[in-house]
Amino acid sequence: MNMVGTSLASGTSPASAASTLIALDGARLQVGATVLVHDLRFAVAPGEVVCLLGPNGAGKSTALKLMSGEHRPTHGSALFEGRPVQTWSARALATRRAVMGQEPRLAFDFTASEVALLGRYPHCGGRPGRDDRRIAAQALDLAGASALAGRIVTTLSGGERARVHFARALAQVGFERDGVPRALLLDEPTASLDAAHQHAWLRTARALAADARLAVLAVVHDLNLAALHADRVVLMQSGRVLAQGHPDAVLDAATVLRCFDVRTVRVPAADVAGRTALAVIG
Amino acid sequence: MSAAAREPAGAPAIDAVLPRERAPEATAQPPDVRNARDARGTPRRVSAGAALAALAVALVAAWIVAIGVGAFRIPPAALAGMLLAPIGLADPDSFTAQEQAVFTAIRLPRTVLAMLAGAGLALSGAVLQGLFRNPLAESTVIGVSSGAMLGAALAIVAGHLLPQALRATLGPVTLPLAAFVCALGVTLAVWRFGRSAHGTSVASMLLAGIAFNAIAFAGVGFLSVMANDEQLRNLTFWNLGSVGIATWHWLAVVAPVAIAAGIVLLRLAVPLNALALGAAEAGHLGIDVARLERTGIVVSALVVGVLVSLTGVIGFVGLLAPHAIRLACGPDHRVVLPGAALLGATLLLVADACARTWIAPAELPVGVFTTLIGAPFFLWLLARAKRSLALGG
Repeated sequence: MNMVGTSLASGTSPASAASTLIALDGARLQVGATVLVHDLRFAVAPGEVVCLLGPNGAGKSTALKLMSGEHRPTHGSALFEGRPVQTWSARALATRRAVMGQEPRLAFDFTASEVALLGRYPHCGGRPGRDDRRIAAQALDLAGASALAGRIVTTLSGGERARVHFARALAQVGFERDGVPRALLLDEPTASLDAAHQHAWLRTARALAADARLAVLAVVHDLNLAALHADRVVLMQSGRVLAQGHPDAVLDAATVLRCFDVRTVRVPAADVAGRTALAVIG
Repeated sequence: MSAAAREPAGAPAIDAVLPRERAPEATAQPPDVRNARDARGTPRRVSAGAALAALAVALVAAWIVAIGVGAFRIPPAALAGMLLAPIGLADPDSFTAQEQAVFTAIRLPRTVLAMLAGAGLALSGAVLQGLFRNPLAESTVIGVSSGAMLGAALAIVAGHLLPQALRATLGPVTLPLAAFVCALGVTLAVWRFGRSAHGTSVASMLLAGIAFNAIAFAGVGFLSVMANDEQLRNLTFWNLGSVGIATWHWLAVVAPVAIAAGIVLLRLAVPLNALALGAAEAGHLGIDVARLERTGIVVSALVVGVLVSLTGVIGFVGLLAPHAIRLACGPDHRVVLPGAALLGATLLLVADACARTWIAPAELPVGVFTTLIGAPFFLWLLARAKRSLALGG
């Protein structure tokens, strides 16, 4: 129980938080002579959902891995709360930030609720208490996975597994409205989900961002998802940031055609106020 | 006390903002399919506390039996007398001097070694499986035990080639040390071969294990040709595995190391749970994955090395015990590690008792016994892994 106190203390004073929580500051990753991504520069503020878009091989996952600290930039830096990610202790960072990679593969037959509870690891040192169980159950609920709670994750379908891992990431950031900004990094979280779950998922992320001061950065493939739900989009091509800003501004037909080689039209969104949806027409 | 601090405004606010999301899932599949899935996917598990308590009771029962059976029988009443008489709770006439002698000089060290070896091998097996993220990783399978055997053989046959000063310093530690160094070398090598960016490749790991087993046996074969008669007798024993040579002299060298290493391994339970998600995922949960892997590999090789230097190769205990616990209690390492240690100790006590009495007065090496049970079990696991791979699980 006393772990709770330390987890809050490690959150530092919310007042000192800059307007952005996670940022790439001129980050470049070079392997040998090959430059995978060039001087990436973008940031995500608490309360904001930013979608990272781009064709295959644009460097979206690499950008996310730079942001998470999994890769170390050869030039520039990845920042969390203004400090290079590498200077944070893994434990302190883990209480403030969750990362969901592409298709995590689970060894051994853990149940969905056990996996969600693993998200509480950094907060409870692996010995979850009642609060942790409550948060994990709530996370499963938010991810639309409560019905899977007792099931063995390795026997689930791809979409069901994705929801369980989303729940784990949500449990890790928690839903504390204590003013401490936290971050959620998602690499293609919606890839294996059906349409209903994709939208529900992004809505959950938005609601949490607004409610619990989360900074959400998500790699998505579906342009329409980003158009409907992202506060901002970052468009990448060939390892560079091509454009960033409000989806309506960035995802105009000409840019999308140039970047993705598909033609699109804007259609009115059904239930998201002030948004236009994006339909691919050929 | 801190529940309020953690959740200042209560949960409902978020729920209010969110749409209910279970509707699409409920309609996604017909109910009969869902029920069929539930029947397969929802595990029935024994509670951790009950399982560990039952295992502890079974261990004590197995120990009483293992003390009693053999060429010379020690009835439980005599055992109770021997244990309780020193503290004044039993009549010193309740056992004979002969029983006392067999108990102290033969049965007690033998059963202590059986329990140490069983617990150590099961524990290191469970830790290796956690590190490799694969239930087939085990010290006999991946060649760590035979590596330790080669180390021990080297120390026996070629130990006299060491500088006199070094031999004098190391003394009785030479044998376990050589076994440990070789076990560690094999573990590291299999680790390098078996791992890729995407985790552990079962095929590479098992193939590397085949190669190292072959190298170790060829090495021991070579050494046995070079050996003199006495050395040769010692070497044959290592191939088969037995707890019969347990003496207090050797236990004093090996037991403290094995117990300390076992405690270190037990403390890896929590980070191993996180590692089940994958190395990158565990890192994002705040685990120092490199340190976990380093500690796990070195310490499990230490356990296997020092134990094999005393008992020879005792196969498959590290596969059977952790797997049985996972089946009964689920994969939480906080239960699997202590449970596997208790079950491993029990299994080896029982196996040794059987090996001693089966073809009495002759004695079956316990390693032969465990391998006869364990190898078919390994094949069964392999068939299961193949099936789940085919299904994409």
